[in-house]
Amino acid sequence: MKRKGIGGALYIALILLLLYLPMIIVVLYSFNASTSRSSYAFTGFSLKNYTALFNDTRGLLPALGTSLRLALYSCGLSLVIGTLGAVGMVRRKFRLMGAFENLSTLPIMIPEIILGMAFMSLFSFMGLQSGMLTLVIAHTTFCIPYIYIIVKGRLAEMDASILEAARDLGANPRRVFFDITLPLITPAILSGTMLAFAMSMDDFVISFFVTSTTTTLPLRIYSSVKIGVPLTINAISTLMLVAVFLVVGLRTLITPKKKPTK
Amino acid sequence: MSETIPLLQLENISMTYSGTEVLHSISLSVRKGEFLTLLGPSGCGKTTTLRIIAGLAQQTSGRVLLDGKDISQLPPEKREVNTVFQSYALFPHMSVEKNIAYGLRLRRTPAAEIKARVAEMLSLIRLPEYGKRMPSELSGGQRQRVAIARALILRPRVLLLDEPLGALDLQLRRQMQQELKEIQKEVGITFIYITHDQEEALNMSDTIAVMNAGRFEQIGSPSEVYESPKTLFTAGFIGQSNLLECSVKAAENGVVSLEMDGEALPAMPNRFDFRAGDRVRLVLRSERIKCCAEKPDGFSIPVTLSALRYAGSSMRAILTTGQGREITALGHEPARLAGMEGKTVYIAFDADEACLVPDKKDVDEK
Repeated sequence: MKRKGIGGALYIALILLLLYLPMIIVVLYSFNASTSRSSYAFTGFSLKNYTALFNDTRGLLPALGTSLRLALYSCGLSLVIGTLGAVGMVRRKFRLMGAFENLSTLPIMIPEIILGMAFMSLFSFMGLQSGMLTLVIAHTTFCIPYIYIIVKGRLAEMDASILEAARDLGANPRRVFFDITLPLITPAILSGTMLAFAMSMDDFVISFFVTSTTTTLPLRIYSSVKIGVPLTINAISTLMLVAVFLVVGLRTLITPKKKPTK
Repeated sequence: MSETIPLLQLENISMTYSGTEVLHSISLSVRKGEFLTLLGPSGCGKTTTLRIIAGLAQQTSGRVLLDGKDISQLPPEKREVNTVFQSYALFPHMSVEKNIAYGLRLRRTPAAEIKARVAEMLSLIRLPEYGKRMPSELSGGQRQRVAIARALILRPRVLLLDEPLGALDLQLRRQMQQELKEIQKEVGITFIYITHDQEEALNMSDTIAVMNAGRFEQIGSPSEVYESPKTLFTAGFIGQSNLLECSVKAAENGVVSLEMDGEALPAMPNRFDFRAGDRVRLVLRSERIKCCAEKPDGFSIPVTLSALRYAGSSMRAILTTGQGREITALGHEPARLAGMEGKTVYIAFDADEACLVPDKKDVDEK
């Protein structure tokens, strides 16, 4: 069913505007020549915010570096754990399967503030020094479910007879995994990892609770916007938006297109 | 290899799935080069049987023997049998060539030999130009042929085919039946073929094993299972038949005399050791019923012609006996009854073109 007409197009345009207006403002203000922190008047086009960003007067770049490293470590770990978990669980049936499923994806549902507090209590109980290690542990915990769910979904919709056909043609279970399963779930693994990466880069609440000295980008931004938004924040936000659009574009490219079924 | 050892044997195979027995101690033996079809309705256990032979399912008890050697404990990759799956199960991320070559690659066959054998297979399945295509770019019939080539390239002792033509339309199915049969003759490999389509089974097989509810009802040549069904199920499942309840009046010297609704029927050979009083079914093939507008000489049954329908290449007559039994006649014979709707007509049959099977209730009691 296809509806034509100017009304529908306008409606969609309005919704998209609503979604993207804040981001458009951020991009716009990143080029603002104004130096005032509290006034939001657009006084002219300038690249000074970008120069300031790269001259690094506020420690944003090291924080970005920390965030990237953190996302890389925790996504790497959750990629392995999530994928192996999905492969191991997908065709298994046992009595408490449903309970296990819910339990393993719970970190997504639990309010972040509770998870953050829980981690803080746990780490201080264990006497772990807050820093990169605690951040990686916490981030890995909430990244695993994204990869697990997406990879398991892909595995579940895969025709099981493809795997049987490989066995039948002489492949032992290890060969079946590397020759057939892995190539077929790679797009799902990448897709889940990118999502997890975005979640890790974005996380503020949990990081806030589990680190003191190591500062991630969201923490750094938060601490510098207490009195109005410094315009360099707009600049780094714009750069990150660009990065996100690139990643999303990439994800669209690697996701297999749905073929018209006959 | 001794002539007396069959290529493949199933010995008392039973299978229980979560408490339900789906195969009841079945046995089967298959000769080298034979085209054997497992024919039965869905859920009768034919796919399970095939999976047990392939090693994709493990029987609860019983043995699978290949060349007299027990292969029951071997994993599927160690068995010299290959399967063509109902859903084709081509590897979607590999080209046609790579799909076909996969089994040889696993066996570390030299690249030059792989290339030659893949080319040979592609020409056998009449798709020589399709090596570089991806499975998603092929039609259903082409995918099926690739699946067959992928299994055949390993020169298995037995090729197992699980309703390979099930997803194809009627015309393509007929054509593929022909091609499959030719391929089988060409390569000389034993085929075990699953279908629920009786016409397909009759057309292609050397031997048909009729399956129902986890048991073999009858194993025999197409003409045996068609002409001399041994059970009510076989008689009803294969061909268009009228299965008329009769009782045995007397059984002497290998001949039974029968009675249907109080009327005597022609004497029939006693194939099952029937005794007087047994309830039996008369299997009357629809296309072998003679239809007469006037009472003919000799035996005949008076019936009312309820309907006469045009069915393309043949006619179909729905006939009702005095006791309200419905009998269907098919073929050219009903054409003689044109214009007789609602009137009394006569049907007859040759005793050697009909046969008797035990009525189901009797079988269950024994």
